[in-house]
Amino acid sequence: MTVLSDPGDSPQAVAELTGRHDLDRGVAICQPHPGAISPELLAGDLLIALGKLPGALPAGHLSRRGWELAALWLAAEQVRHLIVLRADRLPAGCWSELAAAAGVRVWLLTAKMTPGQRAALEACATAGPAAHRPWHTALAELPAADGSRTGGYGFPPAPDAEFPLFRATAARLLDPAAFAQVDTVYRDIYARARGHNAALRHASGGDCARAVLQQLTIDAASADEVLTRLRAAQAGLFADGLLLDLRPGRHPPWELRAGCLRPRLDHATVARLRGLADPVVAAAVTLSRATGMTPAQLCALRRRDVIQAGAGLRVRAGRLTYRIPARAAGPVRAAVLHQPPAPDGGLASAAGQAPLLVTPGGAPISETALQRLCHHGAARAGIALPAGSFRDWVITDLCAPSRARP
Amino acid sequence: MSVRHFLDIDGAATLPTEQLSLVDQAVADLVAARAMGAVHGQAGLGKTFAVEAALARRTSQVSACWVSFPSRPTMRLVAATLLGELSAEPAAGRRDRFALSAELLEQLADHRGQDGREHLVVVDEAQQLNRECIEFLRWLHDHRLTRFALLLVGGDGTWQVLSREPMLRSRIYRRVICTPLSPAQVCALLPRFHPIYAGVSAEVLLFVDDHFAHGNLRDWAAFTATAAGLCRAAGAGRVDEQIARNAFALHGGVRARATATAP
Repeated sequence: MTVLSDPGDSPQAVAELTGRHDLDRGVAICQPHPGAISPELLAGDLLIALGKLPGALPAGHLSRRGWELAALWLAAEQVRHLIVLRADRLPAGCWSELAAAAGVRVWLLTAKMTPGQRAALEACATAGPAAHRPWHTALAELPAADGSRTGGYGFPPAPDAEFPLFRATAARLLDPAAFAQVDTVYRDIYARARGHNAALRHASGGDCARAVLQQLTIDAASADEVLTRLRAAQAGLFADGLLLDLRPGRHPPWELRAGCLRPRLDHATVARLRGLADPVVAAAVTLSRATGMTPAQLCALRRRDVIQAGAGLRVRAGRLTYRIPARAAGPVRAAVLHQPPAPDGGLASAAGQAPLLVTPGGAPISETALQRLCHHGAARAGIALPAGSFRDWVITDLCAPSRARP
Repeated sequence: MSVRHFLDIDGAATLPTEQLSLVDQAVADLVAARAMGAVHGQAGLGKTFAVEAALARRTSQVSACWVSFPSRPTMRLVAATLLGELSAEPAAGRRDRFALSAELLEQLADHRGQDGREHLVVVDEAQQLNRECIEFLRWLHDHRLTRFALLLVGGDGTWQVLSREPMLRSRIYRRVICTPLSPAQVCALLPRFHPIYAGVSAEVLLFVDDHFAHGNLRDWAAFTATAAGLCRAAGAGRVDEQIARNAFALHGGVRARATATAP
């Protein structure tokens, strides 16, 4: 815990520190409500700092679980720096609660300190006295927010060319910097698509193709990036004798463009998903949006099916594997970390056998109930379910021309 | 948005005072920077009129929300009133101020792209607010989720509250102090205000100012409304000393100069 001194309570301090808010980089800014004199009230402000919709607790009938959920979401979003503005207005008890937040470096911006707060600070300091420093020195230690995220519009416009011509057309039409940006993504996906060729060749249905395309496109934040990734995937698969046909006869082109090319987890959608405070609802909606899994498939997921993969997650659903990018991993991680009392006494959940999505009492959720949760959660977050899908797209093995896999 | 003069005087024009220009510029700057500002001064100096005029020129750029409160309101009342104005739903119900604040954060959230206009919250009669309420407005304004400019319009008490707290005063990006018209301004501007002052001597204008209006625009408006009626009744085209004296009588006699609070 570090106390940042701002004797003048300056607007610069608020503006500079608020500008560092970036959950994707592990920085959260909490602005306690004037008169937030209890940990329960502070928990509401903490959840807002973690992206939850203001009023999410009462809307989800979660008001009594505020502090528990705040701690859960701090861990799920992997927040490393929690900055509390105007912390001098909080009672000493709140400082103690904040100090207990595991794995988080807490920065308290204060104009002055009361003796009670000083005592709380000293009581919390386990390794020597807590640090005091001018507020601006913190800026050097906090990661800068990524100002480039503008809802995906930062990705250059991709040419509307078929895959054999796509890269050449992009090189011809785009300026060098834009082409370099497109080509970086293209070459990465091209190489990754080739890595899936064996699995696709031996798969017996369209589900495998759908999961592969999900893995290759889920990081896209704009329609142009989705198109670039799909063209690269087509080119990569074609190099190994597989033809991915993106224009099957039953899909008119407008549907292709409106549905399948729309990014599933662009930054605006992720921000909306983060607005959900209930970890089970948030995870269900996120998984449904990201993977297109049905309620039955979601119900079948176990905790052990969610695996950390780099900064993101991998979710195994039977033989299929889906990716959840780092920016949307928080809601799914929250469901894994969320540990309601297990009906089996905790043995199953310890072994990772417990269902991922459970009721507050720890019981598995029925398919119907999960469908309802997803519906309500999506409505509350303001996102559409299901997202565009790669279902029914055709991959043809050109090495075995007689076999076309739907 | 239409701007109305006090008493809605027929034939009156807007006086191009320095303060009108300053308020206009301040509103533009506050909206551009989404900052906090204050316009303060004695009653009747045209503060509200100037802000309304500035906003009337910017209806396509600014979505303004006007609120005013009774004396020394609570934070809950401020939250409920503001929410009522923003959402057009007057019933705050029995929700506490924390629940209301949560809704306010959503109402004042960054809605760029929805209609392209910036939010400006104008708190009229801001001298009624106490420190806690201004602090609450400041919290809303500082909040990461919100995007709006805030303008406090009121008597000199507004600035007294702000200036007592450095953390509030330091956030005031634009401040306009409204003062009464000086005698020179009266002589220069009043002939443009209404046809009954056209060609009237400076002596008569200063006679009215010294004995009645004291540079206060609201008092000048009240005098003008009365004097215009007397001119019509007397078939006179312009005001003279006799009409001025009759107008004083109708207003209960001459008026003493109000004591101004030092800024």
